[in-house]
Amino acid sequence: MNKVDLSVSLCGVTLKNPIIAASGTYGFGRDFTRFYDISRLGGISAKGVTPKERAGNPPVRIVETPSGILNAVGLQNPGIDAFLETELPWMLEQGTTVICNISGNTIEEFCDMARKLNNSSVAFIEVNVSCPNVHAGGKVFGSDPESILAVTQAVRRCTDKPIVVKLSPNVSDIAEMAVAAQEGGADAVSLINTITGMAIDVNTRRPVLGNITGGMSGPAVRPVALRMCYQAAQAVSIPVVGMGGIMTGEDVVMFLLAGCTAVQVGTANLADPMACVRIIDQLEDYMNRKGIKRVEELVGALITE
Amino acid sequence: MRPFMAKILEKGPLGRDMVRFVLHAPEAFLQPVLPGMFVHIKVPNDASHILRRPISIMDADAKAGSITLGIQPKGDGTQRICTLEPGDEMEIIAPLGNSFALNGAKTVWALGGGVGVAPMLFACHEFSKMAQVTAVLGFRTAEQVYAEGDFAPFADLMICTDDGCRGFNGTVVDAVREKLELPELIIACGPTPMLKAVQAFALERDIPCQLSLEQRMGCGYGACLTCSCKTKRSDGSETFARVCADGPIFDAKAVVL
Repeated sequence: MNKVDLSVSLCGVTLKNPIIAASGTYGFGRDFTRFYDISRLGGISAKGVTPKERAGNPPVRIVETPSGILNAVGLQNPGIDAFLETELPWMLEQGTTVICNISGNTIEEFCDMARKLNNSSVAFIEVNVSCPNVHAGGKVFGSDPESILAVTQAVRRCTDKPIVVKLSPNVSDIAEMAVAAQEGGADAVSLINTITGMAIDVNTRRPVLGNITGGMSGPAVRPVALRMCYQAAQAVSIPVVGMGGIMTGEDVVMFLLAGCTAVQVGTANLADPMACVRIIDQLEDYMNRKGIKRVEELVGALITE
Repeated sequence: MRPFMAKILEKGPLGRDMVRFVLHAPEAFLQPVLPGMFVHIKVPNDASHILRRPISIMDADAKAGSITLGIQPKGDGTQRICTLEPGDEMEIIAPLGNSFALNGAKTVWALGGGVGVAPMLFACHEFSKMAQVTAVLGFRTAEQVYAEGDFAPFADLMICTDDGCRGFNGTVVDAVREKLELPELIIACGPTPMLKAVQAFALERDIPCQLSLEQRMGCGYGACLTCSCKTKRSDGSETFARVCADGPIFDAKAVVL
């Protein structure tokens, strides 16, 4: 098999391949070390952190839906200080690019975390303006271009690190949101976060999730995610990191062709602990079969005429 | 550790509502397979069911490299798993989760209810080597009773049915309340109302007690934080733990049901 070049440049940072484990589906990576060498990943977007520790939502927190899942974890995390002290040093030793995903209820909370991270060795800050499972802040920020602009501008002033703004699909015009992030000084956008959904138990007549609603992900959302990534990539000049139901190497190719520079793999990690490395292998296999030497050749190479 | 294909050696009924599978799973024994642990099974031949199904290990034989499971074909996923036949393979991750611990106890009550009877067999099998075990197994009705013969070599057995068709007429906790001699350890697996009653009983009498919890699960190995249960810290404050990775066995004093 010929050796292909899987590396991609994202905002000046070289990822060894375009596969990033998505925030909230990979913890801080520790749970996967018993399955494989996680240095093989292009990167890890760490479990989203908040200014203080959060316990998250009451159970039930997950339910399977047709070709997808709904989750309502509610940002359970140890808080930014514990992340910096305990989790980040370990992550930095693992030989992959570390992205810290942050989520705040106010612009000041986002800024406080960005300042703390500025002195750390994280490669990127992913600004989560789109978690559907918190009632304040994120939901508001992510569904309004002016709020996205404001929070991005504020975070921009607090850090020299590359900023990736993670967008919500729960909007009418995704391109408008991506442009707002770019105008605010984002170095990249990532999308999509989960689509707000709901499940009802007809036997008990109650919502299945403790939080009543949750975020839907998995292959069922892939066509929506792909369309939104395509539209965002058309609208902005900064890189787009795509995600939404990626289960195979060929799914990755779709997102790259749609204009994404890299991708994040989320729900697949829950179905198959080997998903990320299997997907990397499948991407490499696709490139060999198609005679593609560099994965960056695929970025935005969609043929539409 | 990684997912692997386990060949089905045997399949048969377990009472009226469950199916017993024996799998050839030597890869699972690369680490100790202990009572209370579970396997995570991929729904076969179906890409639309994303999540695996967690199933307690009913018994394990390290020498033969085999694992016995008791599966209730309740939802669509478990129904599909139960269509597999001897000679077919299940894609599993195993063993996962923590385990019951004897902690030097000489007398044990193993309390099981319904599907929760299955993991009690493995616990009785192992613990009977070092302790005297009494298994108290609860079912709704006589037709659901299963694995009596399997338990017999390892434990004194008491069967309870809600409708009184077999054995003690009432719940597992009703039955143990009538026993005079309390054990040094209680272990239990079953529906939440049963676990609550067991927990209350054990706390009331200050008997060490370990409860096996069930929760809707995502990954099964600790990453997604979806299978949470409420637990108490040593200072009394409440937090969430992961049933898959911090459990499924929890100390009755530490878990909030």
